[in-house]
Amino acid sequence: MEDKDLIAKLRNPDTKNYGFNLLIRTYQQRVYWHVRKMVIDHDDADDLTQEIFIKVFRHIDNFREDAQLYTWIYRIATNECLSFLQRKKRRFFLPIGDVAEELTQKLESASDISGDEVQLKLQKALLKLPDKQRIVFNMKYFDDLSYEEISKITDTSVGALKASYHHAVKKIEEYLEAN
Amino acid sequence: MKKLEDIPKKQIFTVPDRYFEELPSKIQDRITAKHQTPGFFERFKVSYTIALAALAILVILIWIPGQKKVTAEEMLASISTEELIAYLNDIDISDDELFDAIEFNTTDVEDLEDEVFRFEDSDIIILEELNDLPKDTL
Repeated sequence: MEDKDLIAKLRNPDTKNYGFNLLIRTYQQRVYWHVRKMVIDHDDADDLTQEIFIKVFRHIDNFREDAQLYTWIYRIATNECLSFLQRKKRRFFLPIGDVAEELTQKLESASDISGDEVQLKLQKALLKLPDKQRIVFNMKYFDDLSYEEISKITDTSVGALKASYHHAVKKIEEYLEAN
Repeated sequence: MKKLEDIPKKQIFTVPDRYFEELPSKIQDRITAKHQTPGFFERFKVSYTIALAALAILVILIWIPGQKKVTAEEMLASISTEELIAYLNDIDISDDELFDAIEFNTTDVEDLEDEVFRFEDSDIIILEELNDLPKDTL
């Protein structure tokens, strides 16, 4: 179903619930994995994913259709992830390093994470990056989004994104080499 | 040096069974629950409406009497000169008592003197004619 048809269903009170169900089924996996890669823990990712879709439901009338629907949803999801991680740091007065350490421990101990040593090392390397740089890296490397798409999601210039990504790659490779 | 491009892209995270089959209904249930549960303001709408109305009445009762008081000068200014003169003529007060009651400032005095000693041309002619009269005429 095209975006405009889905949006029309969402904006019609008679078909809003049906349209919303369709929207969730269309985008739930993309949203969930985008969030999960950032917060690591399944329960946190589950909560956040639900919150994201509730926000989409509440604000669909504000969607200006000047971007694609998934760009708008991705933007909400990105902001929710970053806000969540910020709140985590503030709640426990943790500096960045300690939150990264906590997430690293979840990587090592969680039963719902299965990967070989190299994959785990890559994830640990990613946790060394600042949150914004990490989320940009994930969108480029794992989700294969173009710089232009990421630019619309994060409201950052393509040039800045390219610089951020290449710097992230360099830091990851240095970490893999050292560990 | 290990290159990122040498590492295969793999999904290392897993989800519980049937997670994505059940997620849509979990979200829908949460939205329905939020709609049905009245929010804080909905629950207390009647109470706080009455409270606000009472507060508004209180404010009006205190505020209106505290409005700008009219000064004596403003009250006097609203009375016409003719009405004032008529009143002063009616009351039993001498000119001396009247002047004692008035607080003249320097400007008032100068204005009065100008008023008293202002001569029109016709007055000057009469004065000159009076000067020409023999002294014992007046």
